[in-house]
Amino acid sequence: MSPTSFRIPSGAVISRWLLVVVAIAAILWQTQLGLGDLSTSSGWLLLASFLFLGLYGARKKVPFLPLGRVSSWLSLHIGTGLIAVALFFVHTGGRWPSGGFETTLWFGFILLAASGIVGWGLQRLTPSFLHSGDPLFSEEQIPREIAIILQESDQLLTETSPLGSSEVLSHFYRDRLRPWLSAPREQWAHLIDSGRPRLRLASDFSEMKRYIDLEAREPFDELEALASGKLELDRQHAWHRLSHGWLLVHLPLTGVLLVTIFVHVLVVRSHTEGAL
Amino acid sequence: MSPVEIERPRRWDQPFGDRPLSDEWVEKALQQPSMNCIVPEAFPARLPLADLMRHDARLIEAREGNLIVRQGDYGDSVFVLCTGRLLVVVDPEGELGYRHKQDSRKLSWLGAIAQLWRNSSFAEKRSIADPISETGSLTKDGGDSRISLDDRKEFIGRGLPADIQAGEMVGEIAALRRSARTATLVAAEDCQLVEIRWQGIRDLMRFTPDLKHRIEELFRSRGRAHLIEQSPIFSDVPEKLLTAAVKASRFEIHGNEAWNKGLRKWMGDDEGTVSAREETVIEAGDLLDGVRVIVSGFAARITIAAGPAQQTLGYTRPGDLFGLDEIIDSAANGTPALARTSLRAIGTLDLMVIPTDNFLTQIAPYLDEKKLDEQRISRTWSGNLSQGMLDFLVDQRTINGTSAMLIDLDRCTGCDDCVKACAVTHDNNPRFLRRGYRHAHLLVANACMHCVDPVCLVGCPTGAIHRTRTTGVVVIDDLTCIGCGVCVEACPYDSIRTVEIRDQGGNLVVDAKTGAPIVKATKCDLCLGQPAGPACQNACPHDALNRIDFGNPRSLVDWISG
Repeated sequence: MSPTSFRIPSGAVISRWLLVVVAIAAILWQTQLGLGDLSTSSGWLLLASFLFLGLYGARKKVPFLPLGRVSSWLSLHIGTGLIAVALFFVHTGGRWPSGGFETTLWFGFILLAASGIVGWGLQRLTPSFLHSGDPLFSEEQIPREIAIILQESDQLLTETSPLGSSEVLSHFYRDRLRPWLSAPREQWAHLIDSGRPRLRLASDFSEMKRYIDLEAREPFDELEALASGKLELDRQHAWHRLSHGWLLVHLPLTGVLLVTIFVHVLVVRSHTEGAL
Repeated sequence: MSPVEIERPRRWDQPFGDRPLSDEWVEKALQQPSMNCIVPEAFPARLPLADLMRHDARLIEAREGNLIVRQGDYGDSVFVLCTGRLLVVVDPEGELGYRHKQDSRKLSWLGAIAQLWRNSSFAEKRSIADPISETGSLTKDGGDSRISLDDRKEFIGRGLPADIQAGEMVGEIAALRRSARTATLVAAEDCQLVEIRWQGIRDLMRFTPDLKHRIEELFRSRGRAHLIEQSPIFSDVPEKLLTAAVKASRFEIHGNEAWNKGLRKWMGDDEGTVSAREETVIEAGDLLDGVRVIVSGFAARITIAAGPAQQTLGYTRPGDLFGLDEIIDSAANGTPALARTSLRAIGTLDLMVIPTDNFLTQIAPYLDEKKLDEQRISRTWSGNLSQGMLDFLVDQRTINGTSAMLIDLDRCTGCDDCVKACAVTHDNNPRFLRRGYRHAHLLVANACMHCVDPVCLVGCPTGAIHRTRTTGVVVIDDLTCIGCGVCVEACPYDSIRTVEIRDQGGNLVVDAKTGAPIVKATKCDLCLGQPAGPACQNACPHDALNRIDFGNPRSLVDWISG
């Protein structure tokens, strides 16, 4: 993997974030000195940072507006997210939650933060693996490409074709190869960069070679090339899924947590006002 | 949905003017001394001269002080002055204030946001009823929008010694080189001009070799003066000395105009084949008889011999000097000036050779060392870019791009936010594919690069694909595009496609005669009219996609290293 996928923020960026952290710490310290309620002030700051984090999604929806590049917004999103984690621990006082609602809120936030951190790591780790093949396909293109490979393979194996006339090969195609060609397979093996899928494919084709007439050698090689193409599609599919799969946790959780936090604020406010 | 039948669009459906040029003016234009070598009999029956003039030319009636063309604006037409006189002014620094660029009309924020729900739910929707073309008439309502410079009296009288007189032709430099206008033209008195668009001039030259010769001679004689005088490097040289040096200089044209033909076929070949396609202008070790000023052409490769191959050191852009250090050092040391590197023409390359003596006495003392250093630095390749990367970018002719879409595959997560952003700003039709030519971790996407030399414009029969006047962005006018696919064939970067179009109701539009779908060419328009520029670049969350101007290679180095 190329080291360029890891970029260290510049000194100016780091110092700006340090300033934000110091400012927040100063607000909280001032609250404590003034005998204010630390959990309330940290709660409001947490809510503000949570809403700001949500703005990232909105920014992505309007790329045509001159609001700065989305990459800058992502940096803000990550920085704010890390600050929100710190605020969360200040807000909760590092205590375990009690009660069903509080537990949901607590674990929801931890899961959301964890999915964000995992996602951040994956987005920096996966590009080099994702793009190590050629040609490149987007996640949406892969099912279509697989369908094309399947169609072309079927054409090579028609009853009248030189390949289709071999009974052994027809069986191999129908029972083994075709099911494998029809959908992404062996995703985990590709993620751990295992050579097994390629070895197995090579072995299968090598075993079949003896049953192929000389005149069927060319279509047989074509079939093997199609299978190799499918192997590359499987590999890219696996990395695409890993690269974007974390969003299936991160995005729905954001929605759920937004509602839960809203209820939490309402409940706390009504209790506070009741007490007063 | 049933297909909608229309007549297949043809070349002259939209005349250049708001109406075809009258027969009287066709005759008048052809009688002018600059045009009188054209004979109707030379034209084939399918392309009669009168029809060509009627549809590819228009009449301009300008009052004294009216601006005809503005230096720096893009245009590919030629003007034949029938009555009156024109002033020609070259103003490299834009001091006279008439060079200001006007932005094209941009969407408001609300208008831009409205795209989110106004975008079509089916692909490639087009208006097939509106006959008004953006490129055809002087203004959309057919009126004349020429700016008058009546309040700038200081401007009048600053013309070059050779102002344009009735009967002469002007505008040939931008037309032949697909470059920006090199001078401003103002009506010195009330004028009548016939403006002929590139499509007309191209065919007039094709069937009248004499006219081609005349226009090329004009290009040689005027080009060197205009192009040199507008170069910022020479801005401190006194006008008299510069004029004298220009007079003593010689103009050279190198390379191949049809450099794009077959480019993709031999691109996979080895370095030797790529080099063989380039003309060696100067070989390292040759005796230099003067300083070469790159006048026009998108690039020349600078190389030194490295074993059996040529090692690429960099490339030039218009305005760059070649052989400067050798000439200055040789004058200081009293040794012959031998070229340290080779210069090879990629595409057409226009050069001015200023003889050594003239250069050393009339120009060198006034050159600003800072500007020269800036040029040297901007042409230096360093940082994370390898020799292989530089070779790749030059071999692939990616350096033609002023907004090439590059994707750093070490940062790209394949989220396709760039494609989605492109779709949302183009009525749900993405205008590029996230695939292209790759070297190591850099992908040059199949997206229009808005080239310095946009060869896609050359063959267009209607002028539908053109550069916008003020920004030079290459765009396609849907209404005048006849879907012939000439631009698709001409683009060596696979950045233009043709698509089957649908009407407002989502019905496929087909040819009434054959039933074949009507197609239109489509490509990236750099989000012209959007408030924030290219949406693809804005949308990338990982800064993996950037639009790079190869006139400033440092921007690529900084981005890759950043």
